[in-house]
Amino acid sequence: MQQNLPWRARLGRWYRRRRDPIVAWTFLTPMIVYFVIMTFVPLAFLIGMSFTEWNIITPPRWVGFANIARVFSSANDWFYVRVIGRTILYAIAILTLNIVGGFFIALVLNQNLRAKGVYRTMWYLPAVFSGAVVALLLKIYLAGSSQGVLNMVLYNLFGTQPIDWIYSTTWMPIIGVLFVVWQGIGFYVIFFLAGLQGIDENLYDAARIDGANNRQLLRFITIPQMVPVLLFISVTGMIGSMQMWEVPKIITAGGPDDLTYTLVYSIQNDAFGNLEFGMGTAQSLVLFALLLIFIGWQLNQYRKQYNV
Amino acid sequence: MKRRQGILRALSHTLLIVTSFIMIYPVLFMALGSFTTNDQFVEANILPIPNTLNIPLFLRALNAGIWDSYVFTMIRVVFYVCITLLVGLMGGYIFSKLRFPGKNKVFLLFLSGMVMPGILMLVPMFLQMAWFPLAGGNNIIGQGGHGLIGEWPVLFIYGWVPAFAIFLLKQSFDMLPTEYEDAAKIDGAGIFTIIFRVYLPLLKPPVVALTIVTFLGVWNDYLWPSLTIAGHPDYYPIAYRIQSVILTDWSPVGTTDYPSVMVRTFLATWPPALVYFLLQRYFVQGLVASGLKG
Repeated sequence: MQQNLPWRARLGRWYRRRRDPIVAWTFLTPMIVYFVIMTFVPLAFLIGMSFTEWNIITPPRWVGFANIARVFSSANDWFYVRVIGRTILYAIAILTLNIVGGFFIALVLNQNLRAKGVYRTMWYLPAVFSGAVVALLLKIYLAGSSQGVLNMVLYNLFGTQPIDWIYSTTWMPIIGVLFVVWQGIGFYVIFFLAGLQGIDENLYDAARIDGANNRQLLRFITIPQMVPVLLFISVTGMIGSMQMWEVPKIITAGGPDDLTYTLVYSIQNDAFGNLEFGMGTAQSLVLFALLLIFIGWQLNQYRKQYNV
Repeated sequence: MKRRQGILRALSHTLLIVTSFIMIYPVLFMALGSFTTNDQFVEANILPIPNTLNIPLFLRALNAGIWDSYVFTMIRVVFYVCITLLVGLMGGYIFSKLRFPGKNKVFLLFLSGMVMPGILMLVPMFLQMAWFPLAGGNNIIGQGGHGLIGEWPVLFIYGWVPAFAIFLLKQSFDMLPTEYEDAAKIDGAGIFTIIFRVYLPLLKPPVVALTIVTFLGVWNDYLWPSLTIAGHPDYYPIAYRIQSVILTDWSPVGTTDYPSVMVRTFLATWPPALVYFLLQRYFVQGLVASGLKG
């Protein structure tokens, strides 16, 4: 058979067989070298440095597991343990609101409504801005006395006395959660909406013929069909929600009473604020360990998706 | 039945109007506040009512460093968009259309780097830059100086192999039949001709989506510049600049020129909003891509 092919086709086939590896490796080699240097070398630094005490000015000193031990020590009323616990609590609150709220809005938007594109646009709008910039805007809104815009508006509307929002132990944690949800929920809405639109219409038609009502359609078709999307977004959302930093970094400096002192803020504060780079990396390692199961799941999903 | 559906529809619209308004309220307040005088602003109850263009305020803000940051940030945007598309297209093509040994292993390497949350790497990346050999007074093993910290290349050195772009474009290449390139190959076309002449015109949606995602990522970048370029105002990207220029005109106590603060925030936020409004239909695909980044 092969002999009978025209010579040009044979040449083409030869070209493809021999050229592919050469072309691929010519371009991939520099990419791999760069990728390893810029991603895996820092990872090695991260692990190595978490065993040192280092202020960047004098040479690092090997301290073994002392940093990790300090993270889990009872000193300072379990300071770092409370940071970790607080971060997890924030993450759960943020994720729950995002998923429940995002799913609900996606369901409402999935009807055949007029102007639904406009609503979707508005729901996603906060997500296109820099978290740091909108956090700064929020700081200006929340400022105490009459300087804050929120107090000014409340006074103009209802004549209420100014509240020092940023220093309020009641309000600031709630506002922090709502801020992160406000900025991130649009992503969940769009993701859920894409998932809902991917459900086969025939399933609904068949169930309606069998006399199912709306609630049954939701319970027995929509939700089971959305499980993969829900799972994916829960894992991605958990990884993201554990990284809350805009509120403490821009607005509160971790206050009031350390109530917004999250793990990522603590990492930065210890490394770049207190020049304790060993503590900063040790906490990064703890965060990595906390996220490992989610990251691993995600990696496995992508492997399946791309057949590798 | 009809009637119940009508009620449901009305309820849905009411809910969506109210919640959508809440979602855009803080931003809308800022945008309208940028075009009011201070006297008008402090009267605001639900929203400030615009009554001026505030051109002097805009000019003053632009001269206070925002214009410089626009230029610098746009240079970064163009650089990263070019590199994302170039490397993404090359990588996407190689993984999609070429057959070679070791393909899956390389793919897995990129995948595992991609799922690492970048925020974990902040401290070691900072050190890598501080220890960069032969830069900023460092010797060959990266000791003795400040390295690239405080130098502009620090804002251009990471992210040259955008794994998420490679994956998004690999999927797009997978959907295009190989027949397209056969004719070009017979004519002796090289890999660049095949990617940029044959396939690129067919890849408009993912390319636009990646451009948007890259633009937003660079425009909104705050954390890395805040750690590496602080104290060198010539190289402040816009998201970082805005903090310093706002805090000069605003403090939690004392008098505040509100419109001036709103104008500055407005100047940092209108480009992403505009890009979003104009290119919305490419957005969902871009979102999937940015969701990949983890």
